[in-house]
Amino acid sequence: MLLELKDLKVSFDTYAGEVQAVRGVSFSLDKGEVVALVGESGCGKSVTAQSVMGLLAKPAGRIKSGSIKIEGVEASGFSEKQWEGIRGKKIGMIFQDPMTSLNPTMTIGAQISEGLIRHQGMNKKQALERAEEMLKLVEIPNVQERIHQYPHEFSGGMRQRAMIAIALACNPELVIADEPTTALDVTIQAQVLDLLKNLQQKLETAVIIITHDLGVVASIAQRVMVMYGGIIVEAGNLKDIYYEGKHPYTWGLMKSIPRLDRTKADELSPIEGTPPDLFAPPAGCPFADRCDWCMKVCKTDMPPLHKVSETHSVACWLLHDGAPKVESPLVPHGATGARKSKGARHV
Amino acid sequence: MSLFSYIMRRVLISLLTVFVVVSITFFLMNLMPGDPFIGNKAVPKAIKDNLYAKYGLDKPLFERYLMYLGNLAKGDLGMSMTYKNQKVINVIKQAFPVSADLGIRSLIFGVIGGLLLGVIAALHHNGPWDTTATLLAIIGVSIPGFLIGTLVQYIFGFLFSNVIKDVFNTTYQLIPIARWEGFRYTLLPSFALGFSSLALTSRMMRTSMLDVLHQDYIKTAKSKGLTPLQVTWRHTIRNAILPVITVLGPMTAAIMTGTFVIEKIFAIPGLGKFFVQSVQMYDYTMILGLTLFFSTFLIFMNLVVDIAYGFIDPRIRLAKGKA
Repeated sequence: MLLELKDLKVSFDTYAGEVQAVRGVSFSLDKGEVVALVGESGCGKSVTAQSVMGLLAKPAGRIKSGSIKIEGVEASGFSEKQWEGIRGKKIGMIFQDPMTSLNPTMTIGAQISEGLIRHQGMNKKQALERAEEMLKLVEIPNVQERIHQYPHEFSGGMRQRAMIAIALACNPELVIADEPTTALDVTIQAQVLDLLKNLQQKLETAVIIITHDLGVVASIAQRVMVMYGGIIVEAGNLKDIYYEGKHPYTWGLMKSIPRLDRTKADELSPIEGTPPDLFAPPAGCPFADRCDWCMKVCKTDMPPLHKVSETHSVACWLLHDGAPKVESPLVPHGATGARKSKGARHV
Repeated sequence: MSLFSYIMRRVLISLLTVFVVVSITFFLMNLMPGDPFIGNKAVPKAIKDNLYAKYGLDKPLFERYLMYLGNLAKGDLGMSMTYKNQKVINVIKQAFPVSADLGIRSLIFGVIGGLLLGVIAALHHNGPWDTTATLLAIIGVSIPGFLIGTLVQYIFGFLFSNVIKDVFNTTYQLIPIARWEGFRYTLLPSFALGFSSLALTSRMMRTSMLDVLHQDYIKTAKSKGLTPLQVTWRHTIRNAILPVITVLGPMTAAIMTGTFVIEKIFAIPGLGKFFVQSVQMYDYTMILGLTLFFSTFLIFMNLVVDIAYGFIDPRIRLAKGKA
């Protein structure tokens, strides 16, 4: 087991009070696995990722309880020094906006070399040679020249490639990609995703991809975890979530993907409302206020995790034996639609 | 554009600027009522006329202007009108090195101290170090140099000397409070003069550091597992120092060309007093000479900073060999 989170709770202490950003997240990840964390802004995806990197904003952010195990070693109590040995070496990270996540006053080569010099004991020359290999690996043309250039001489897509090269430089076991394509043009998005997918298969690196775009998920991930209000509301493999999604929030996400085969009657529908205030998270299901199927119990009690199958679990009261049977609103349009576009890259 | 043609273009623009500065100063100066030879003493008219003739003040304004420009083109700043047989250029030659010496010491103290303080304050944002640095900066910005000057004189020349007198029974001054005769003499004036630049630099550096610390590339640097020192030095300071460098040009020019108040308080034979006295005495040639000197120096420092900036920030580095 490469990574194992158990009931992870992360809070931020602010002047206004405690923000409970992550409220009990558990999942595990094997070597070479690609997992997607999906959900809208402010539901704890990035905070989960940051705590796995030991990058929570100090001193406000802290792991309240729960455990993070990296290759079987408990990491939640790591010192800054111990985290330095993990970051870049065991876990690499790709950030959202390539325009701002590269240092403008350092050459691309130097920025890739840094981690190598730090973790692999290379000298400058060796590191630069390896950086050159990395840039070739991420398919940047003219490497000899490019390696000595600065970020402002790169286009957005190329910068994100360079960012991927930085994350992969030390051959990490795991790469966390935090919205890696959100800031890119649509055409570049597809290229970067393809690259990420190919490299993942080639290097057998495990990947956690954080996104709010289910299209991105479908093209790369094997497993999907839908996060909402600081908890995982539904988890399963790709098929479980896309065709047999059980949580109303997952349905909502599916319905808000634009699709070419959508009929007029089945218009693109956003989920009404906003995510709950994590200063004072609700006692019951965090989605209750926005849910069309909300019951009395949803407001008062947190739904237990219900196992649908070996791979598929859902935290929703609708799956309780006493609940009324509810059919997924995605049937028939959603299901057939999804099947029709199975061959396409983006669902 | 190559560096050479860039510098040539800048030099041409600078020459034009200096010309405009000199012209405006010339005419503004002559708008002041009075002239160098209206003194308190009653001078016989014949002598006065001779003086006017000697310095060319009997000629019409525009002719004098052209004459001055003509001399300037030959590199002649003329004779002082209040100091007997003193060329303006010689006054500058004598006094500027002293002011520059004091200025460089103050700058080293102010800029290096300010940068350090700014970095420390930003790294301990909202902590006790930050508060201390902020307090120092507020004191430095709000208390004028002459007050700080007299204060340190009082502390070292009176309180400290009294202690020495009581303990060692001598009038020896460890840190002298006036005159310009050796390293020990430079300490207090450098401190007094450099304190405000220290305050300004530390404020700017702190703000800039805090800004950079929130940039995404700092997160990237941390995600590589770099040590805090590496992140601070290679990623934070290097980017944070850029805006601070821009103020160094004018700051250097202002401090190195002498300050009236500090030089007066510490009895330092620098250039500062000539700026003030020349205006009071209607010393036309001196006013023009000093203005010319100061503006040239300021423009030069700005050019140096712009070129240095290009070396530090690759984004504005001049494209090599390209048009």
